Amino acid sequence: MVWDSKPSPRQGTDRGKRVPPGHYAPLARDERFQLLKKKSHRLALAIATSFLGWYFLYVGLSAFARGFMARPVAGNVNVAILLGVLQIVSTFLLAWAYAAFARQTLDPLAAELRAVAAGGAAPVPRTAGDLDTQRWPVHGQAPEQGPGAAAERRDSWPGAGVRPDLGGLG
Amino acid sequence: MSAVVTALGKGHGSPDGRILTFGLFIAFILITLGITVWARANTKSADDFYAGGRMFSGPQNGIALAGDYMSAASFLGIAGIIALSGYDGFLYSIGFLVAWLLTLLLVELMRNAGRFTMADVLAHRVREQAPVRTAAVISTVTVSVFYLLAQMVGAGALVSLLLGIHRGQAFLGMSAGTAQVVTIIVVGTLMIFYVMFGGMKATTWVQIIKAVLLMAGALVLTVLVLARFGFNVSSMLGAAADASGKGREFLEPGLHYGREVAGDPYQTMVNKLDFVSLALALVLGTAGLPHIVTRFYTVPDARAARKSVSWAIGLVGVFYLMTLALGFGAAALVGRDAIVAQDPAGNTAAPQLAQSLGEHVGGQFGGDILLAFIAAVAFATILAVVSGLVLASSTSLAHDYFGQVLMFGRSRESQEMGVARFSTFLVGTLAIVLAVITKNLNVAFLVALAFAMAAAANLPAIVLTLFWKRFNSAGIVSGIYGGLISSLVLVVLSPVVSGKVDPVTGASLSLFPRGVDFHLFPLENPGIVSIPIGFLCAVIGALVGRADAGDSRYDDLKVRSLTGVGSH
Repeated sequence: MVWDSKPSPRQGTDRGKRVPPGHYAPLARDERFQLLKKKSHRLALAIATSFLGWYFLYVGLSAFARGFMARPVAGNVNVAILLGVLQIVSTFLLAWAYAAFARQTLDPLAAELRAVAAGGAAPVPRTAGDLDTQRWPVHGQAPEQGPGAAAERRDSWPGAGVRPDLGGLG
Repeated sequence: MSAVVTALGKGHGSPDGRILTFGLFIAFILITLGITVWARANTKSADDFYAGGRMFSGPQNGIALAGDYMSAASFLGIAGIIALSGYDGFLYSIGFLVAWLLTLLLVELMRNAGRFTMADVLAHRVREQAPVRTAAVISTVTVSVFYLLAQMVGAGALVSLLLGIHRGQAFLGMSAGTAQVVTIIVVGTLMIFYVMFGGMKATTWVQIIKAVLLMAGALVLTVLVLARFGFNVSSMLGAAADASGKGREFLEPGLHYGREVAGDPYQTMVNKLDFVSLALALVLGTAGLPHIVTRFYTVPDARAARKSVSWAIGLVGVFYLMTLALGFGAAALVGRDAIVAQDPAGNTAAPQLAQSLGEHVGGQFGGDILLAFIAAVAFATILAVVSGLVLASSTSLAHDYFGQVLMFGRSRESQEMGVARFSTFLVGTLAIVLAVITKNLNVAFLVALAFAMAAAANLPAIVLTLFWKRFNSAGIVSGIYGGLISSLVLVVLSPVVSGKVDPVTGASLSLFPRGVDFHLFPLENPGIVSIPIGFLCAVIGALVGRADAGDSRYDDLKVRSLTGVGSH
């Protein structure tokens, strides 16, 4: 029941910790973050353009194509009522599609990055030349130098393979 | 059928029914006061007061979001528009629903990057927080107070109607006018009490109870309506169209929004653009409504926030499908004349439908019970929505203005909560006074205005902060003020404030009486102009102002918002 449903255990670490501004900025150069950002932006853009386009098509038809909207479909149900109900159905479907995609694709990436930030494992630089240990202040651990070390670390951060328990991530 | 109509024409409910309605009001008040006392004992920190301890689950918060959103305007108002103007009420409700998809796209980012308010998200990447927070507070309080005013004035008129107090009649020794003022004061006092003492915990539980009551009430009415038509939607639509006197047109767009004026192509185009403007404000406004945004922070993390918006979408969508049955059912079973006799705006269509359906099932007694139940649901709806609004304002005043601007983020929690309680009292009292002063004015347009302001002032700042690297504090500040001021100025110069006259009766349909006419802007809803102005001001401000904090803060915000590291 909803009444006694308890929130899942809080995800993530470093909750609300006071850190200097820009503290997590170095993580932005991690290639997994780049991937997360790209996928998240693409998803948001796809959902936003489809629902806004579809909704304003419906609004436009309601305002300027009333003859079309008045066409009967079945019994007393006309195109206007059918399209209105379809708006509700498409809203449900888009919400479901967004949540499903986010759960399957974005959440695991975000969880990995949170583990990186919490565990003090080094971010994986996009290129070897990007490796800049001075700019990674979390826990003050200086990762080992060298592109080889970084590549190896990608597979050996504390949670690699075994995803941390993030409660219902599925 | 005709007996029912005559009964409704004479008065609203029997004396017994009125006492039943009143009794249910009292029961709801007692239960919610009990919750407030419990919440008071469990509200110890700022997290508790502003965000309910962040301990609500996704589904709980989703139900509360739906409760916050489905105001009396959407329950009684949309059912009323459908009952009187047919399809256009449905058209209106779809804008309210689709808007939630935009909210779904932003909720996780805002939950991850913020602490209690929109200003937390905006202030994250700027060095000089004070101007940004101040702008956000001004916009939050303005939007909330306008929305609040519309709800409270509506509440005054509505409760008199629901209790069946007409002009010249009296209930408990009160005339209709007195009852209206008393209602505004009672609703306002209860709202202040819930929020001051129970904070977000009490407010959330009030929302949950209200949302469940509302869904249950709508479901009962929907099933009863459909049963009357043998669960045949088409025959229900047919009966509604026949009873409306407008025939097929009743099931098509155009009777209420974007009306076509024969022989006047200019006015026809203005009406159609006005409708598009309203649609724009509805779809883009929801994600920037302060009482919706503060609710993002009552859950432990972004995943729960996403889940709560999904729940809200499900509930709001199903609810608007049901209003279709309520509105067309009222048109078919109660009839236009009986509805207009009670309230020309149609706000009593749903309660009248409840009475008619109840009488069909269980005679006079059945009618009384169902009417009392639906009236109590409407009352609960009003109380819950105003509480959410006043909480959003006081959170913004205490956390953003007092805590961050005046005290530079160094205030003690106990101080901040004291200020929050005091601001609740202040905003609540202001709303009561304004509502009593404006109680006889037509302020229904304020709801659409609040959406337009949220879309024009808040949305550009939120979206550009989250997605545009070059954005900065100058952009945030100019976007918020530009959107807010342009919306306000356009409304003041629009026909809702002056110059709109009923072509038949000659009575004024504006805020000002007939004869005063200074309207320059033809549209009633400013969105189609003020939302682009808001975005434009934000972009120009950002390009003119200097880039203020360097890339690292933007990168930090991106990492936080997308992954949830360091979230509160």
